[in-house]
Amino acid sequence: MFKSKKQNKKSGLRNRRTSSFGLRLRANRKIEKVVALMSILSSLFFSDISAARAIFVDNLPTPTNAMNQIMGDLGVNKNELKNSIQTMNVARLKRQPPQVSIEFNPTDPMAGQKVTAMASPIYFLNNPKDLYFTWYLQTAGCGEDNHPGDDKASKCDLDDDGDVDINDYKIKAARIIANNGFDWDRNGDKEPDNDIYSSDNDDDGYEAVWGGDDQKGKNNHCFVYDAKSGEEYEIECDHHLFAPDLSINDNGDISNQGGGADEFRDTRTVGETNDSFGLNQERFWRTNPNDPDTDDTGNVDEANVAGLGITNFTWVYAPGDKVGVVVEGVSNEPAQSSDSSYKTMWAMPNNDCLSEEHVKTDYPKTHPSTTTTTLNDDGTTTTETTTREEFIVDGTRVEKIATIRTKISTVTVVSGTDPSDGSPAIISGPTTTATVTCQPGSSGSDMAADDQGTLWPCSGIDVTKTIDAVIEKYQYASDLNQCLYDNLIEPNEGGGAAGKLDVSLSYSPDYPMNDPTGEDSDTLAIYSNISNIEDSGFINYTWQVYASDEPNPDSWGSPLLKSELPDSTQTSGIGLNTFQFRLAFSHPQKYFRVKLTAQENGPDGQIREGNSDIIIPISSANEKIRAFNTSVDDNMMVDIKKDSSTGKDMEICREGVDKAICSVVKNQIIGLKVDDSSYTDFSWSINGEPLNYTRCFYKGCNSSKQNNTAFFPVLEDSGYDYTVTLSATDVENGDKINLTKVFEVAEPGVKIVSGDEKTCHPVLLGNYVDVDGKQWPDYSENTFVAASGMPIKLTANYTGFTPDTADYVWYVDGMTVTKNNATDLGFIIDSQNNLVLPGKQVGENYNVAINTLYAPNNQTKKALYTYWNVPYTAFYEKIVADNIDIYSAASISSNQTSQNSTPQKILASIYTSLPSYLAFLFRITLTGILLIFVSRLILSFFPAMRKNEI
Amino acid sequence: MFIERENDIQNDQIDFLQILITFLVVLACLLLIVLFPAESGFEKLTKSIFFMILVPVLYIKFVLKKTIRDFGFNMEEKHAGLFWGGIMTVASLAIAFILINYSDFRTEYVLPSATVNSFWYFVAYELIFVNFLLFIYEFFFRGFILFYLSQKFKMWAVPVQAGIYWISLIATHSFSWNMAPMIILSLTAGITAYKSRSFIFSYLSGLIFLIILDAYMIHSVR
Repeated sequence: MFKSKKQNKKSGLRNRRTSSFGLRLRANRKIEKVVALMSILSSLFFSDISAARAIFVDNLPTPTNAMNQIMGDLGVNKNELKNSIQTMNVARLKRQPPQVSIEFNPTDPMAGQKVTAMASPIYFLNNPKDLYFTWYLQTAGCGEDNHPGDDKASKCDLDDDGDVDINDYKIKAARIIANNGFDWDRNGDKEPDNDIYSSDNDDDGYEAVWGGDDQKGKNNHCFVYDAKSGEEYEIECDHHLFAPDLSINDNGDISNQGGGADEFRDTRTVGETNDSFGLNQERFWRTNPNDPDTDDTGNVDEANVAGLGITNFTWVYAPGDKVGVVVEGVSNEPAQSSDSSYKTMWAMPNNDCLSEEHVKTDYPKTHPSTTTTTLNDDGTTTTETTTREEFIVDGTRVEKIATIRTKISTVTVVSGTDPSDGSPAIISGPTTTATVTCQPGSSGSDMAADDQGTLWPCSGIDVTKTIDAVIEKYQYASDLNQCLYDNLIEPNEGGGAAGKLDVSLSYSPDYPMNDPTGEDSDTLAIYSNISNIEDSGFINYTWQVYASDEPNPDSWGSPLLKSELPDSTQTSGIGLNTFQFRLAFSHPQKYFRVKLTAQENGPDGQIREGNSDIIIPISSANEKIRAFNTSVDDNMMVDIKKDSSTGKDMEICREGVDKAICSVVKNQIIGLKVDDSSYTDFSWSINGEPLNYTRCFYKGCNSSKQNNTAFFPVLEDSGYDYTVTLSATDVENGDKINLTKVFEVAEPGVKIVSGDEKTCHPVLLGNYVDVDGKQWPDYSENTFVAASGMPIKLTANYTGFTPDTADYVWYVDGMTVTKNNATDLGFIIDSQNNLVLPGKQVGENYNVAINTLYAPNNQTKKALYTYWNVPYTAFYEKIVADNIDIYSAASISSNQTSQNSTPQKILASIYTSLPSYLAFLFRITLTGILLIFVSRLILSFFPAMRKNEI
Repeated sequence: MFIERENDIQNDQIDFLQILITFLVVLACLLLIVLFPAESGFEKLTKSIFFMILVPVLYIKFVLKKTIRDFGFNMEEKHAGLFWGGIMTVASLAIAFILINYSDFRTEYVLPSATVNSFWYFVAYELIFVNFLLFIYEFFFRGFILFYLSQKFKMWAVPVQAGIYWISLIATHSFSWNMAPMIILSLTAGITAYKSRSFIFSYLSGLIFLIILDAYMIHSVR
């Protein structure tokens, strides 16, 4: 407003001076209005004075500050943005170039075995059928050689150029591919037969396309990739890497269809022209001149030689053979030329054709140094030598653009005169000081590293320059042939899949159970599987077992001896693909480590070996599944049956053979029980099927959870086996336990046996002799012998069932003997219902019989019907009986009572054999006396005998 | 003169008869050891004691009217016993050494496996079983046979008693490498007993020899 008034005053003066002052006054008024309006708007927009100061006063109005302020207002994290931009800067280097990998089948070929190498190309734009797979095979004894001997040349120098090189390897492979077993040498002279190659009637020429068969018509741009830097460098597309275009002319000489056969850059390869694949080429490549597709791939012969779509290569393996493949195609990335082309690139298995060392630059650069000399006030001189060095900051070069850092070093030397002799001398120095340029954004107090990694203070900012970068080694596509040697792969190289047997182990059962008594112990079986062999019967297996209380100890120590592994199978030998031993250790450790070392001896002394181990946790429990007879009460509740005389649970199968395999009979209900309450999570199963009930029928039953008691019905016929398994968890340590008991369905029966084998036992009929020469006694079943005068104790052993003691009776010599009349008859029936007979005189005998009726009681029938749907027609009854004859003898042989000699048994044995021993003494004494008496009697007839003295 | 000569002839006849009867008694004892029926181990042991100790003792006492001191059950010639016992022990060991190194003895000589694995079982085996059987053999062959025959055959009694022992082994099919130590002792112990006029020394030297031999054999197989 103040300015407007001033302007108005000036305008008034001018108006008065000129005649056109009227127009000017109107213009000035407009300006006054605009200025006034701006003042009002300014006061409205910048009413917050601090905001205005922030932009125009506190911070200098630079673009950077303004941008930072705005980005901050927008919530952009500058560091994240910077990081993202840095990532974007190098994203171009992170792309995946075309690659190829080779797998072999079989992975471990043996000499003479056909092996197939399968190439898997990735990151190509083409389909595999349009890629060119140049296979090359270096057979054993055909290593690279510029001056091969005659034998080697005749075998390996297939292009007849005087050396053995990559071209020969390509020819070797291409012939195998294109030939497909065509019989070209029927007369056996190792040369193609002239009668076969007399004419060429097929049209099997092929012109290859740069970058793959599907890139026809496009310009070709070839690139080579540096795996380390991620850079791609363009090279000249001169020749494909196919096998050389060779043929055998009419004179039998090998000639190159293009140029020299040895220099790759001069060597034309097959498929480079659309010339016909002529007779001489057919002859060279051993293809059928009358079949355009000898290999039956769907491509013509020349395309097959060029490797079009040949992903697999099969040859007969010999130790030392090496194979390689180079795949030509276009990468996923387009060339940057203004056409439709993509980058033609090559993939090799090791992918290390180009490295940074092949890219040459003129950095680091050292500029000429400058020296200045200053005369000091004290008469000394200071000499400063300054050197400027430029180098590429590591990791900043992108193709030909790189960040250049400069290091300026100054070496200072102060020289003067030696006061002692006045000769020139260095007073101090040389002292080196240096500064380097730093990254943009660094301040003067920051430090940066030179190319040696030494930190110096900053003196300036790094610069980005375009540098001269030259790929020295590879300028043409054909130069890549030099890389192929480093990409040869031996099927079994490195001892990996080839030299190693792939061994895996498994074991059974899943939760192996140790039982110190050996009764319920599992037999632990370890199974091996070797995937890369054909016949396990020729593998030498060595099994070792270690034990520890920890699953992963520092050391497992020494393996257990075979003698320490109960019932173990052979630990070492051919074809032992399974190893097993019984878990009957008295003090087992918690974990076993089973290690298998397998070895295969192949032809030519090849040895392949593999090993594997497996850690097996062992559970141990002293508990057993106990089996019981059952009873069913009036309420149809099933319970364990109690003996009427003793009141104890009627446990069955407690000892003898039945302890291992418990005999039961059809239509029984068997009770099962584990006493130990230290287990939980009980799971009963029979023959692998869970033991389920539709409803509860016994005391303690829980319809939702199993407990330590179970019942099962015997419904199958004689001969059937039930395997009852109980799985449970130890409450204390969480160990899984598996207990098993086997039941065999048998016909009900009874046998009378001696209750005291010292005084009565079956008559020994003879001995069986097994294959080891061991004798096994064969006892009579019905004829017993008893020591005369000694009491005879007899017991009834029931098979499949155990009747109540009140349910059966004894018969002695035709008389019924019960507990009531036993004493009257001179016998005893004890609490276990054993029959005790008094001894008889020598030659006398007893006839003893027993019988009872086997039949499920009515309540059991009802329970079976109710709970397990057993029809009443399924039940049966059977009389079971047995009888024996017991003859008394003066003594019974002691050799049948010598087992398990305890002091009591020894005394009993002495006691029982005493009479016969006394008789023996009597006989021998008589014999001795007789001997003495006779000799004395004879000599008594000669009285002079006394004269004979010593 | 005529009467004296007649008496000499008669005495010679009596000597011959006594020798014959004694030989028959020895033969009877050996046969009875083999043939007399015995079933248990006790009976077999009793049989051995009876026919190799008791019957000879009774024969010496009641038929020959002598004491068993006259048949080597004494230690009167201690110096000779120790000297010849030592010499013959060394000789026995030397023979055993030759057998071990130059014959199948090392592989054919069998000891109870428990003696290899247990020192105390070895001690019990040597001091009970070996000791007892050796004493029986010494009493019968050196004590009874050797000292009876030495009256007439002097030094030749040694090979004769050894020969009887060997024949008895052959006749009972017991001639084996396992009996080789006893065969050696039949000669060396015979010499010791003859020189010392006591089978006690031959028994002791024989026992030492057997213990050393068995210990060495166990040492060599472990």
